[in-house]
Amino acid sequence: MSQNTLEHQLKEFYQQQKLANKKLQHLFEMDALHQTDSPLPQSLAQPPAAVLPSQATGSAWLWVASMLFVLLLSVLQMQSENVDQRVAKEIALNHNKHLNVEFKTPHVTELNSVMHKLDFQLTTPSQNDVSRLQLVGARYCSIQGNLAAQLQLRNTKGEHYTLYQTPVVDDIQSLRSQTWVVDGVEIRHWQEAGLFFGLAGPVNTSAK
Amino acid sequence: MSSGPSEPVEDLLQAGYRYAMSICHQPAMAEDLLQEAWYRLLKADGPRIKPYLFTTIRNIFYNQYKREKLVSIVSFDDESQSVDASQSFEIDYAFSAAELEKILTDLKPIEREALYLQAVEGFSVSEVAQLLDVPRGTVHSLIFRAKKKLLKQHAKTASGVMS
Repeated sequence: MSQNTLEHQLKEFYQQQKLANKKLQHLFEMDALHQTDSPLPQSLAQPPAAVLPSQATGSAWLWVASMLFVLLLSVLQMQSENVDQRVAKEIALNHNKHLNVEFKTPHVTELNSVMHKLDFQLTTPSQNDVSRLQLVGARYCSIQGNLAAQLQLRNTKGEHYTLYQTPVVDDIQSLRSQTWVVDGVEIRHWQEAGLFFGLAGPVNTSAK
Repeated sequence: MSSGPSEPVEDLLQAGYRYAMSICHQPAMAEDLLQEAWYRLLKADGPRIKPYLFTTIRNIFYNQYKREKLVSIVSFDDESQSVDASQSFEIDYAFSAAELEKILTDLKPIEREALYLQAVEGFSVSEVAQLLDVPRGTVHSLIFRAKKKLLKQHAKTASGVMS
């Protein structure tokens, strides 16, 4: 390749763009924090058997703090379960309404050009079984009060699916990948690349 | 597009930063985009691979800016002006770093992005199309137009009329 080709010059130009060390360090720290997240450290959960009085006071406080932390986690967990269930029910309800699409097109790109009310870009999810479904069209809807898109899809057997997309904000942030069966509808939801996805369709059939 | 095992974290983060730069062309904004994308990747226990990180950066950028109506997303007009691979061409001029910087600023984010993914990351047109979620013809069109703009700006610069 000639040194003057655009490709070569662009490579050189972008190779010079480097993330500052300080910022890099910060991102490493985020990673380290993530790796050590979840269960309480052993040192906090179990105070040593024999300690000096001052250490005992400190340990007691640590024990109380850790119990409060566990309690808080439990409450958050309960709330999270409630959100999961609420969202699954909402998706099942929307799916079973069989509302007509507002925008009929088999192309996601076209939907992005016409659904101006959405403040996010509709995306084709990476999951193979979902991306194989045929897009029919879409309409606006809401998930937990957030503006969302309901994409209507069909598989090769002509079975009806709806796919919901909305940005990961508010309560939706706590939702993890999960599969439900609600009101005769199988619902799978997950997060991908900053968006929440919920797929509703017939029970016991993979999206093929 | 590689989607194999996780890449070394530093390499992945630097690649993410360069990709963010290709879209927004502003160092501070690129840092913010990368940090937000990294946070979301960790939180979702996402795979530590370029395609996932790039898609997350991309979604954050376009969602944020579509909201603020600061950038135009590729539209039907762009697709109707699709060009095929036979219309591609090579540019063989020596740009100075400052000139390249200034010329890149004038490209649309999606044009810079397509050019970056193909020229710097070495993605195929199909891989770029997959990441950008547009047809292959649109990718050809974006790269073709980006190169045409670069040539035009270069010609202006050479004749001393660059604004």
